[in-house]
Amino acid sequence: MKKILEITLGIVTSIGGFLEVGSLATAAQAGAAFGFQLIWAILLGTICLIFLVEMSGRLAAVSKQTLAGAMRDRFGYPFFLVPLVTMSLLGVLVLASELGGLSLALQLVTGVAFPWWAPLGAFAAWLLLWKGTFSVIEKGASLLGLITVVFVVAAFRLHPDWARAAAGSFPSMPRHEPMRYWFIAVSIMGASIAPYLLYFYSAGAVEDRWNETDVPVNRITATFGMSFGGALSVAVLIVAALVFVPRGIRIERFDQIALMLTPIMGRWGFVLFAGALGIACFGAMLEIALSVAYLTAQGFGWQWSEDARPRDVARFSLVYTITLVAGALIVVIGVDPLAITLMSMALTSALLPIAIVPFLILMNDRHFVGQHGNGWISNTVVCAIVGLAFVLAVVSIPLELLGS
Amino acid sequence: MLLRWRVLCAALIVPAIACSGKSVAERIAEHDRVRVSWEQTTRFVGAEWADGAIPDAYAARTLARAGEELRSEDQALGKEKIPDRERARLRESLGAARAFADTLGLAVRARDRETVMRLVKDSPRANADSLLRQAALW
Repeated sequence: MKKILEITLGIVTSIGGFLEVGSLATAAQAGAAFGFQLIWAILLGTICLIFLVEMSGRLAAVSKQTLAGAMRDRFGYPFFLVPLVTMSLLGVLVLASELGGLSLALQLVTGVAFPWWAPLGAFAAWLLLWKGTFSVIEKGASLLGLITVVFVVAAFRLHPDWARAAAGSFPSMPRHEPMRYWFIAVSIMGASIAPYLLYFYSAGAVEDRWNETDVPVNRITATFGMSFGGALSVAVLIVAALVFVPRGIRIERFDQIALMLTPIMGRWGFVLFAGALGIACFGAMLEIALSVAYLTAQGFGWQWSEDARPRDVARFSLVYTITLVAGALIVVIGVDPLAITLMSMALTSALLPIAIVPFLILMNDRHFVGQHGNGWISNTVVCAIVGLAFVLAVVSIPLELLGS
Repeated sequence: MLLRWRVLCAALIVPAIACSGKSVAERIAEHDRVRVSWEQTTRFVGAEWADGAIPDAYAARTLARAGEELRSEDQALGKEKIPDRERARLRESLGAARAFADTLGLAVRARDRETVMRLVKDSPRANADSLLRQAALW
C-alpha cells in the first residue's frame, strides 16, 4: 500500500512539475505556426526524458551517488568543469526565462509591467529555498502545478480531429518556413530534455535515501509521470493550433499566448492561464536554482542538502542565491522573455551532448551501477534522440539568428 | 579531433545558410503573415474584451503592443528589397491594421464596449480557408 501511494504521488508530482515556460511557449508557438505537425518533436523529447529520468533515479538508487558526484568521481575535476560551467550558465539562462514567465503571469493579472515583478519573484523563490525543505519544494510546487491539467480539459472541449493529431506524431517535412519549423522543433526538444531535471531528480533520490528496492518504483514513476506530463505539452499544442491557426495568429509575444483559453473558458480561461503559467514557472525556478547549487556543491564535494540549515551548507546556499540574482538581472534589463525562452531551449538542445554523453558512460560503468547498467535499448534511444537534437540545433540556431 | 568537428559543423551549416536565402515572394508572404497575425490579434483582443473575458489593462497593453509591432514591421519594410508596387500595397494594409489597433486601443481605454464591438464586427476576419491552404497544415 505504501509503495502504491509512493508511486501515485511520484506520478502526480511528475505531471504537475512537467510543464514550464519552455514547454508551454514552444508548444504554443508550434501549434500556432504549424498546426499538429510538430507533435512528433514533443513525443521524441518526452521519450528521451523518460529514459534519462529513469537512468538518473537508477544511478542514485544503486550507487547512492548523485549524477554530479558520480561524474566528478568517474572523469575527474578537469573534465567535470566543462559540464559544470556549461550547465550552470545554461541554468541561469533557463531560470531567467522561467522568471520571465512568472513575471508575465503576474503582469497579466495585475497590469504592472513584468520587469517590476522579477526581483519580487526571485526573492520569493529564494525565501522558499532558504526556509523550505526538499519535500515541500518538490511536492508542493508540483501539486500546485496540477492546475496545468486545464490545457487537457481545453483540448478535449475543442473536439480536435484526433486522426490528424495522430498523424502529427510522425515526423514530416515542413510545407512552409522550414527554418522556423526546425528551430521550433529543436526548442521543443530542448524544453523537454532539460538536463537540470536530471541533476534535481538524482539529488532528490539521494535526499530521500533511495536504494535498490526503489528501482522498480523509479521506473514506473518516470514512465507514467513523464508520459502524462508530455501529454500536457501535446494538449497545449492542440489548443494553440485550434485557437490560433483559424484566426491567422502566429505567436510572436507572450501577450498573444495568454488568449489561448479564453474562447473556451471565458474570463476563467484567462485567470487559469495566468495561474498555470505562474505556478509552473515558479516551480521550475525552484528546481533550476537548486539544480545549479546541487551540481556545483556535489561536484566540488561541498556540504549540500536542501533539508539542512542554510548556515550549515553556506556555499550550497550561496550558489542558489547567486543563480537567482543573475536570472533576475537578465529579466530586469527588459530582454524579451519569449526570445530568451526560445533561445535557451534551443541552446539546451545544442549543449545536450555535454551533459548526456558522460551520463551514458556512467550508466554503462559496472563500477557505479553494478548489474543495473543500461541495456542497448536505452543507450540507442538516448543517443539517437540527443544526436538528432544536437544536429538540428547546430544547423537551425545560426540560421534563426541570421534570420532575425 | 577539434578540426574534424569544425569541418563537420561547417559542412552542416554552410549549405543550410546557402539554401536559406528567401525569394521575393517568400519575403512578401512573410510580411503579409506578420500583418495578418497582429491584425487578427487586435481583433481577437477586442472581441474577448467586449465579452468581458480579459482585463482592461491586458487588453490596452496588447493593443498598444500590436500597434508597435505593426509600426516596426512598416520600418522593416522600408529596408526590404521588393518591388515598389508590392511595398506600397503592404504599407497600405499595414497602415490600415495599425489604425485599427490604435482606434481599438483608444476605445478600450475609454471603456467604450459598444464601439469596440462595432469595430470588431466591421473588421475583416482572417480568411481561415486561405490561411489553412497557404500553411497546408491539415
